[in-house]
Amino acid sequence: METITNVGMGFATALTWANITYCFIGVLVGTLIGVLPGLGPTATISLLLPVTYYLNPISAIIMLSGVYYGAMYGGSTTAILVNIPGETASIVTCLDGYQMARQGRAGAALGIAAFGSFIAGTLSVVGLMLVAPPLAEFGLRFGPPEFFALIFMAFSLLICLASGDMLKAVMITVVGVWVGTIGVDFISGDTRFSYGSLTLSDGVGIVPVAMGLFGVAEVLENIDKQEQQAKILKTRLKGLLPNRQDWKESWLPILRGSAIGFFMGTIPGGGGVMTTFTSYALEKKISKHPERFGKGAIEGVAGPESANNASVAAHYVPLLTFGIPTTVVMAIILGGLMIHGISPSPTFIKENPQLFWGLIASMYMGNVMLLVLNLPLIGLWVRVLAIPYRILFPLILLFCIIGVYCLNYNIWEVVIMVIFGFVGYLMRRFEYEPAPFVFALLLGPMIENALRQSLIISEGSFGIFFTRPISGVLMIVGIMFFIIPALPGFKRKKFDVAD
Amino acid sequence: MKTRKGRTVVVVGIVASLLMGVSAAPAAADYPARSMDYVLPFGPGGGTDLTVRLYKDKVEKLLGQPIVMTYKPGAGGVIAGRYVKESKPDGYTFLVISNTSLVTSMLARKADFTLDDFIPVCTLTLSPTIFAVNKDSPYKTMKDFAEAAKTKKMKYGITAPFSSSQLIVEAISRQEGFQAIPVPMGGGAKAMSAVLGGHVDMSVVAPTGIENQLRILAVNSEDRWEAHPEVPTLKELGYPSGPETHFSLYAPKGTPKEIVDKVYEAYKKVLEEDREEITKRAKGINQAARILGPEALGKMTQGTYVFFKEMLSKMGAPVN
Repeated sequence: METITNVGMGFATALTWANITYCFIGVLVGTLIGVLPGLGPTATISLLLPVTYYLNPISAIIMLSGVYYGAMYGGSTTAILVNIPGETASIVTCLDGYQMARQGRAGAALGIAAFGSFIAGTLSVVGLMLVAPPLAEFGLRFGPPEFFALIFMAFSLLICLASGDMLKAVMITVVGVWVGTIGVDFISGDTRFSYGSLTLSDGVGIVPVAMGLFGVAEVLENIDKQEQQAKILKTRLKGLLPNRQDWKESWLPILRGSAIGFFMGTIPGGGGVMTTFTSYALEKKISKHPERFGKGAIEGVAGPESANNASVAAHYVPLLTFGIPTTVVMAIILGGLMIHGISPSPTFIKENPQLFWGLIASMYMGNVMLLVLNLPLIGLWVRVLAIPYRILFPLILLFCIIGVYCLNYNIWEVVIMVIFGFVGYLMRRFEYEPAPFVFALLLGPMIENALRQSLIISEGSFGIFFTRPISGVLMIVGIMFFIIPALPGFKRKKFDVAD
Repeated sequence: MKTRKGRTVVVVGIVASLLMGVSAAPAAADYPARSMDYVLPFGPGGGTDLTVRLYKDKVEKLLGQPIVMTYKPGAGGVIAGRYVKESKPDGYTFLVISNTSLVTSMLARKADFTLDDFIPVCTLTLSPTIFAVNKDSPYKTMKDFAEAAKTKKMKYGITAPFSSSQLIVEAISRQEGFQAIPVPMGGGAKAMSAVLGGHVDMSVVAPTGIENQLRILAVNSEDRWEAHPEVPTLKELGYPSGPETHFSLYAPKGTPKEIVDKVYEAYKKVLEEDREEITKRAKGINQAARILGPEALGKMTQGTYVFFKEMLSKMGAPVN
C-alpha cells in the first residue's frame, strides 16, 4: 500500500510541466546523439552536468537519465538501419535487426525495439516497486567468483550461438579471446602482444572491431551486389509496424529479456552488453528454429532491446542504495547527485521516496515519449534505406570513421576498424560468423580477470567456484549446457531442425 | 610597384616579429592573448575533465580567454604527455594529470619523457587514498587490521597493479611485518563494492562515494580530509605514508615563469573568491579543492618519483 502511495507521489512529481519538459529535452537530445555517431551518452551527459547545477536535483536526474535511455534507443536505430553499432549495448541488435532491414522489415524491427523497450520499462517499474531493496543486496553478492561463473555460463551458451559450422565457430571464438588479451593486463601490469605500439597497449577496442566487422564489411560485401536494393524497396511496403505474427514471436522474448535485464542490471559491472548478449544467447538456445538467428529473427531484436531497457532502470538500485555505478554514465549521474548533496544509502529509497519514485515515474514517461517520438519517425528512418547505395555507402563509411575516431581521438583506431572491415569481408566470403568473434573479444578479458581475481582471493583453490552458492549454481547450469546436447534425447530434436 | 611595396611590408613585418620573438618572451602582462589548450589523458566525462570544469568558467572570466579541452586519452597518460612535451612552451598548452599518474606513466609505461620535460604549474584538487573495510568487519582501526594481518593473509582491493595504493600498503606491511595480497579490481567503485559484498577484506583506493557505506580506517593525506574529518591520517597513526595524489597542471619545459605564476595566481584567486561553491562541487566528484603553487607541486612530484622508484625496486617490479 505504501509503495502504491509512493508511486503515485512519483508520478505527481514527474508530471509537473517543468519535469515533463526536462524529460523531453533529455530524451530528444539522447535520441539525436544516439543516432548520430561520434558523441556518446558519456560525453553528452558530462557536458550537460554543469547545466544541472542550476536545476533542482529531481529535474537534473530526470534530464540526465532521459539522455541515457534516449541514446540507447537512438543507437539501436543505426544498428538496425545501417549495421553500425553506435555503442556496445547495440552490437547485438545489429545481428538480426539489420538482417530484418535487408528483408524490407526495418519498420517491424524499429517498432519492436520501441515497443519492447516500452514494455520492459513498464515491467521494471513494477519490479522496482516490489523488490527494489532486497534486489540491491542480491547484486552485492556478485564477487569475482560469481562473475566468473556467470560468464562461464554465457560462454557455454555461446558455443551453440553460431548458426553455421561448429568447428568454425570455435576457431573464431579462440581468435577472439586471443585478440582480447592484447594490451596491458590489469592484474599483473604487463603489456601483452603490443609490439611497442601505444594504441595496442590499450587493447583492441570492441567498438572499432564491431564497426569494422558489421558496418565496413557490409559496405565492402555489397559493392558487387547492386541488384539487391530494388528488392528492399519493393518489400519495404510490407508494413511499418510489427504485425500479428511478429508479436506472437516477440512477446515471450520481451518478457524474458525484461527479467534478464532487470536482475543483471543490479549486479555491479553486469549491465549493458552483458544483458543484451545473455538475452540473445538465451533466445537462440531455447528457440525451436535457432538457424533463423542472424538471418532476421525478430526475437533476436525484441529480447536484447527489452533487456537493455530493463537494465537501465535496474541500474538505479545499486546506484542509489550503495553508490555503486554499474556503468560510466551512472558514475557521472552519481556525481551530479552528490553535487546536490544527495548521498546514496541503503535507506535511500525509504528516505527520499519523492526523488526515487519521481525518477522511476519519469523514466516511464520518457519511454512513452520515446514511443511517441519514434513511431512517426519510423517511416522517415525507413526511407534512409531508399537512398541509392552509391550515396548511402560512402555516408556509412564516413559515419563509421567519425564514430570510431571520436571514441579516443586516435587515428589508429580507425585503422583497426578498416582492418577488421576487410577481415569481416573475408569472413563473410568464407562463411565464418562475426558474432562469436565479437563476444569472445568482449567476454574473454572479463572472464580472465574474474578467474584470476577469484584465484587470488582463494589463494589458488578452484573450490571457490563451487562452494559459494550463487557461483555454484551458475557453474552447474553452465556445465549442463555442455552436457545436455550430448544426451541421446536431445539428438533427435537436432535432426528435426536439420530437416 | 604596388605589389613590390606590399611584399616589402610583409618582409619587414616578418623580420620585426621574429626579432621581437627573440628579444622578448611573450610578456606576462598581455597573457593570455588567445585561448589556452588543456590536454587531458582521459576522454570527456573522465576524472580530469570534471576536475578542470570545477574552475573553468571562473578562470576563463578572470583571464579573459577561453580554455579549450583537448582529449588525448590512452596508454596511461603517455599519449597526452608526449603531445604536451612536443608543444610550444609559450604558455598556451597545459597537461592536466595527477602527480601519481604522471610518475606511473614514466615508470610503468614506455613513456619517452622525464620529469624534466615539464614545469609544475599548480595543483587543482586533492584525491586522497582511503583505507576502507566493511562496517561488519572486526577491524575498528588500522592497528586492528595490521595486527590481524600478521596471522591471516589479508586481501585488499586496488584499482591497478603497482598503483600508489599498493605501494603504500607495501610500505606499511614492510614496517609492521605482515603480508597482504593486492587484488586489482580495475576501478575504485569495483574495489569498494567488493568490500561491501565481503569479497575482499579492505579496499585502498580514491573515494568514490561508496566509502560512506564502509568504515574508513585511515586516509593518506597531509591533513585530515574534510569530507570525513573523524578519520585519522596515516602519518598520525605512525605509518609510513606515500605521496598524496593531486590532479594538477603542468606546462612544457621552457614555459616562462611569469606565465606559470600568473596562471597559479588566477586559480588561487578563483578558489578564494568562490570557495564555498567550488568545495561543494569538488565533493560531488569525490575530490577536495586545493591550489598549491609551482614550488609545492614540483616538490611533491619529485617526492612521488623517488617513492615509486624505491618501492618498485624493493618489490622487484620491472621499472622502465
